[in-house]
Amino acid sequence: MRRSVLELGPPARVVFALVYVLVMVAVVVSAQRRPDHVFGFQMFNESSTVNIHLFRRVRGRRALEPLPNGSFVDRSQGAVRTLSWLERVHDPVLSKLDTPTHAKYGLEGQLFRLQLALDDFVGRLPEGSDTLGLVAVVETLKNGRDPRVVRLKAERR
Amino acid sequence: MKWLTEERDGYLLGLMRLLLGVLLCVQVWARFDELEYWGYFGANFHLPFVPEAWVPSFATYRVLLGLELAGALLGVLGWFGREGLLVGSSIGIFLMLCDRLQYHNNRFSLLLFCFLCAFCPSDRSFLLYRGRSHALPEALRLGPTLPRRVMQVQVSLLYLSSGGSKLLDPDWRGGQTMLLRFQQGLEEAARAGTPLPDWVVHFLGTPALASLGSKAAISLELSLAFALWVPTTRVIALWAGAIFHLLIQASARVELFSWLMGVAYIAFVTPELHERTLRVDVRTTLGRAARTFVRVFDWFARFRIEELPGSEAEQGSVAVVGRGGETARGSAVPAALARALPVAFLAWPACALLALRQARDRSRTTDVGSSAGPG
Repeated sequence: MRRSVLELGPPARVVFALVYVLVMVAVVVSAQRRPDHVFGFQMFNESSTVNIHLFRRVRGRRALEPLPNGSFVDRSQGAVRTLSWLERVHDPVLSKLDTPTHAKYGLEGQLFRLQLALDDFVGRLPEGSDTLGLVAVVETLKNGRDPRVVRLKAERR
Repeated sequence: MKWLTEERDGYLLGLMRLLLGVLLCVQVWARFDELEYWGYFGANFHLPFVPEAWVPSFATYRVLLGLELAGALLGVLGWFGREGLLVGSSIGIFLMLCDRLQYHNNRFSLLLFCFLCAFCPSDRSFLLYRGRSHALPEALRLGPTLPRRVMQVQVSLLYLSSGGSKLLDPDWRGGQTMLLRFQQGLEEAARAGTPLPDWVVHFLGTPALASLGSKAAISLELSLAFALWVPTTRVIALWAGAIFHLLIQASARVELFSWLMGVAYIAFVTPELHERTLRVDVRTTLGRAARTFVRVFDWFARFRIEELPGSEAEQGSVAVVGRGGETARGSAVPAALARALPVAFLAWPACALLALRQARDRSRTTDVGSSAGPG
């Protein structure tokens, strides 16, 4: 019979078992500190919803400009182009705009991810863009209660 | 300390390797589908745990998915199956670290079980490339059982983490989270064009039911983490767990999770084979039917099949001798079979209760008969 290279000897087996269990316990315990609790096996952790409305701050205007369907016409250095949130963000939760959506992996987790998505999007705006930043106004409902509106923003640097 | 050195039959671990390989194939296939639908994650917004420079290019990503699929297929075939599962699961975990948006509890769990199975002696049976002689002889199937114990620990850890996090959450404990889940399920059913009857809608909208359901789910998850380890509670824990996962499968989108837990439960099945005996009178239709049924559905090789001795033929045409030597006859036979055959396992408590009731009725009749006899 061919002996598999993964056939560990007795001492290595014990080391493997100990290391595996310790690492897994550390991963599970530390998941509590991650906003979306990834790698924590926290199944169905919340029944919260988010309703994301996107706006942009435009140079020379005081009022925020809404982003219908997540897209807008950007003017930079004479060039006009249409930029779209949905072309960059494909996540099933973060790409749903103006619709109440189940906040998979928890409200805190989705707000955390949304902030990073805003930063990412703004960081990729073309040089000289008239868009100074994005603002997400998020209507949140934690487990059907405690309705709140959270404002997240990302500014171009 | 027996755990550290003991060696036991690896036959069932081969079955686990094969089934985990199938599940991993399905999962990788789904990722190819996602690639078609969503596009390459690295070209869009993604959140890597690893440095951005480690995130593979589109071409490399496709190669990695191909290698993961190949590893899973080797796991199914059994030819370098353990190595295949190790490569497949390692690639899967690495890709998960390349984008936390692609994290799903069920996918992570599958990858972990594949990883652990690679270190189990799961290359001694269900070697499909060997054809009908897929299993090695018993003496060669013996292998260290410690990695299987680690797989059992992983199952417990999963239940502890899931149940524990719910227990610590007042909305989960109180039933609010589950009440909303029920409502979402009803809305989805209505959207899918299958509205439920009013009384069902009313029933599922009751806060008391949601509260009770939450407490039951938390208690079950926490108790499964321990009850699966205790020989006296194991069989009932496996049954309750199977029902629990079937309910989840029916009510939520959990991809392969229910199937995965069904496979993971094999780690708790006694590794030794043919410790029970099915005795049949092949002259009777019932005897022949029982023999065929067990031959077809005894996937865990629990039974040895023997001819019923002529001296026992008048006590029924089928008998099951258990591990401890106890013999089940008559109405106790379905329970004894259902307990050991996966295909009938869900019916085991019903069969056992029926057998118990009939045994009690019989003993009552005997008592009445003896007390009514001539004094």
